[in-house]
Amino acid sequence: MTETKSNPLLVVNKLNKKVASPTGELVLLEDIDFTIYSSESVAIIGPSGAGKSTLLGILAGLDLPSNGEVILEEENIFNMDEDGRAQLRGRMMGFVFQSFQLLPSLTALENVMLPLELLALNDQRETAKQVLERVGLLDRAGHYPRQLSGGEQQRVAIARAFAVKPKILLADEPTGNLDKKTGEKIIELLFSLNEEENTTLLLVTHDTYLADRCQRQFHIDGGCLTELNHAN
Amino acid sequence: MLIKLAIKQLLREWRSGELQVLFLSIIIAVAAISSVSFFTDRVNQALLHQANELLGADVVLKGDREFSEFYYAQAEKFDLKTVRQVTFPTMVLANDENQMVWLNAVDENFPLRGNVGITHELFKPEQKAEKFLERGKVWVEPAIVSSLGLNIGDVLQLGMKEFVIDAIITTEPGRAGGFFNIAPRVIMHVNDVAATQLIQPGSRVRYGLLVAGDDKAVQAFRDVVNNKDEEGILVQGVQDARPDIRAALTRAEQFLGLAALTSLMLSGVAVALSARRFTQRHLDHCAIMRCVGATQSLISRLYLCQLLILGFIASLLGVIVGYFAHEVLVELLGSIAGVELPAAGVKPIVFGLVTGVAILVGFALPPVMALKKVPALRVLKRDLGNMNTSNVVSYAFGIGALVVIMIWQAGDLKIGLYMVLGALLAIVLLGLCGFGLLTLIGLFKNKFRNAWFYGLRNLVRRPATSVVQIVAFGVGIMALLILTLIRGDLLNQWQQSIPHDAPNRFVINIHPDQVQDIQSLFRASNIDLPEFYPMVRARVVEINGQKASADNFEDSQAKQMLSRELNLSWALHVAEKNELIEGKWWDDEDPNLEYISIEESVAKHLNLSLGDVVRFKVADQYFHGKVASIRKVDWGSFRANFYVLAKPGLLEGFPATYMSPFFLDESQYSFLNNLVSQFPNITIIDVATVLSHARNIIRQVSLAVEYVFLFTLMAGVMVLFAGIQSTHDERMLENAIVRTLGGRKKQMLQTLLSEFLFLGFLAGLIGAIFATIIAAIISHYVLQMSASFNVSLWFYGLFVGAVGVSVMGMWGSKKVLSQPPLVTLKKVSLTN
Repeated sequence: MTETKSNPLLVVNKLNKKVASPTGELVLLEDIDFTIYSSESVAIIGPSGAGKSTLLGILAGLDLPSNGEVILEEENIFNMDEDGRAQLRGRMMGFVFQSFQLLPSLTALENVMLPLELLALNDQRETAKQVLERVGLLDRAGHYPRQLSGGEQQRVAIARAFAVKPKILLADEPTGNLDKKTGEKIIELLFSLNEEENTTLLLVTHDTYLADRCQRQFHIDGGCLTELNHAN
Repeated sequence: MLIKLAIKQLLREWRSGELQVLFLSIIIAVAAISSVSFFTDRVNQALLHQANELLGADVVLKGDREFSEFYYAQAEKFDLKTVRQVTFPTMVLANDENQMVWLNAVDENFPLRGNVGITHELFKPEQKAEKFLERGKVWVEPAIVSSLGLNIGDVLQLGMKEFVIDAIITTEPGRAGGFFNIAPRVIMHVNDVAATQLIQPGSRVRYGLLVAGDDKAVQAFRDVVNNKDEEGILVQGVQDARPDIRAALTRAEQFLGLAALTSLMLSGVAVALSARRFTQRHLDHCAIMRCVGATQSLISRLYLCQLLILGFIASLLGVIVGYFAHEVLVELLGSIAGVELPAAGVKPIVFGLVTGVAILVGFALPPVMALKKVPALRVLKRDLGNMNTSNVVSYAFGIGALVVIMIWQAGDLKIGLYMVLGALLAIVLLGLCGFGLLTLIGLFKNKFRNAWFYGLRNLVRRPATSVVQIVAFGVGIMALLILTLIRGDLLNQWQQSIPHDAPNRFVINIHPDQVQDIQSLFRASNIDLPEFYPMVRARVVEINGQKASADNFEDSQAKQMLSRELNLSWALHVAEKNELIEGKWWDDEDPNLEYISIEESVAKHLNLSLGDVVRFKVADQYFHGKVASIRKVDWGSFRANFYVLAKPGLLEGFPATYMSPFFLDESQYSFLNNLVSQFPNITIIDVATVLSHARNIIRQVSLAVEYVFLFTLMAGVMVLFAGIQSTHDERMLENAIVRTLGGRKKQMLQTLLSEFLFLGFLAGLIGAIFATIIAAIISHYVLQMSASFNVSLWFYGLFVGAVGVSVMGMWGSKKVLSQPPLVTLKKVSLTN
């Protein structure tokens, strides 16, 4: 591990997630420990059902662990209540999903404006337009998701994620629903914005090409996480 | 910031077209409620603020005898102005024609409040009558001059005296609206009454004493009158003016209110259905909002704010629509008040706004508020947070809001609760019937493999939504069938059930000395000699030794029976069309005379039973009778029917007049002129006029109720649309899959059309079933006829239901058919 970087942004300690099932207790995540530093790009790879999305959900405070802690900027997010975590997400996190998760009743611009509105930030429209311009979709600002291609929808989702200038961007299979060529373009966009904004990037994928672009890689299988020694 | 965000989101939602049904439902409900509310408020205000104009005074005393000097002296003592009044129905003769009129004889101080409006030429603008009539002149209502072909300055005869027509009355303080007047009115000077010789012992005359002046003095005068507590004197002040109008208004309020509340209930259902869909469509929305930082409380406040804004705007529009809509009610029923209606107050506006917001919040808030519980993790796991938003508990709030509004509208807890229970019972019955029919039809769903029957399967597959839609339309169709077809049908049947030669004229006020002469005139004119019945006007003063005062009875009918004289007669045998239901008829052997037989409604309202002793007062004399029997009377028989019959001999010596019902062929019309010119004191009542008056009232009232039920039908359409909307995604997907697998558009069209046809057919069936049941109840209990089966009712019910629902349904789901399957499938793959 190369721990010569800046301060830790995200520290995960002894994280476990177990659920009851008809056949007994099912272990989804087991004793997970790792630390992520500011501005790093990190990939978590693993086969389907390995626990990738479960881990991402817990790191984002969307789900609760059975035990263990997730410390974001020196604060254990599970010491907060649900609303506290929501506010923390609004302030510090951005999300990109496999299925884009755009609201069909809102235009591209309005989708990007949504988190800005919820945080009651100033110049919502201007900010949203600037981000849309950066993802190359300003001319489609008034289009609804159904009028956009998959790649375009994901670009809007990326714009929405970066609009609030998050410290950490969590991405769940961001290229999973896209063809190879479009997926590559999306990856380019994601990484260039990440670099420009100095954001920490944590993504979950089974796309090795995407994982290779990250500075660090973790492998998850059967709920256990191991870091891969990757020169890049 | 919250409001700004809420408005912003609301505008976006609006654009997506999901809120329209919700919005329109509220507008319809509020329009229905506030149109009725605007109307009743204006009439109520007329009663409140123009009550003295309605009375023509500040306080009016009414009685069956001339008021004694005591009352005039008291009025003078308190420095109050008075008007002496005598009113009664009588006949007017002119140009060899006769007409029944209502005479209002008053002195030169009339009116004490308000003005008499007159005109000197028919239909010309009215002017205020600057001075009262001279002796020997009369003012008459337009109907008299037009029907008798008279002009100003012409002469007409009243009793034994001729009068010159001085002007035509356009406004008369103290006169009830057209609703209550069978006969047009004549105003004359009270000192001219004696010369007409129209008043004889036993005549149907009401005396009035109109009083006005300073508020405190009026109150002091009232107190004196109340303390004197003289029998048979009715005191009406500004607060209790015109109990007849108030009673009619209350009834109109209840009927119209019930119709409006039906729209409200259906709108509630539409709102609930729409809100459920709104909630389900917003699960992702909320998950994403939670994901990007929205707290639960922010989400709750945001949606509450949105609902309140939406509810307020829709309610405001509903109030505006209701205001314009109420003008039609004023047109139909405005004459109920008898005065120009004042402008509407703010109460209907507040009521409309509160109702709209309450219905929206009541039915939409519980499911929408559940949105805050959507787990943010849904963004990663879409199967999380799918909630069942249609449980009974979530609607309890809305139903509670409805109950409160119903009680508020009824203005009385008991009546309100009865309405709630009645409505619930009706809905449960309709619902059960709908469910039964659906289950029955469901048995055959697999028997047919044709696109026309797939629609049927769709209905059976979604029983809850289908039953709600069937009930919604069933109620609307039932109401319209009752108000249009059944109303006319029952009235016609009832009229036909009257025998051809049933009496069509009643002659009343016949002096005992005149009976023989009148009988001779009948014979001389070759008219079958009718029966002549004696009639004594008496008031109930005591029951079993206890003073019978109107104040001791809650029942308004009882109050009425005790505050005026009843018509008593005597008979040796049980009269035709009378049936003894309790006790036995008197026999000649029993020397005791003090027996009476009473009609069942008198027994019911005055709580009388066999053996009770009732004391009566006739003029200044008293007599009493023991209840020997209770009779059921067929009032529709047009015979001479009496509330109280005495054993012959009991009423001997009391002033009596005679009355006689008879049949007159229209070709013998001149007989009436002979009768009236020879016996000017008698009064002839034309049954046809009374019937057509009643018919007119029924027609106007049912037109008004029918009109309000149009809102109910519109609310029914909203329920249909909300139902279509709630299954929209499912239908789109089905359509897309079937089309992808090779289904033709025509087949899809057939399936959809058959679904709505069956839905409408079932709604029509339910409407027809319940309309028939209600018609049978009305026939049996109200009109006392045997119920008949009306085929056209079933035809129209089924036709209107099937065609109406199909047209609306196809229109509401045109998108399902028009959207290419690929677009739907792509959409589904994106959101899954």
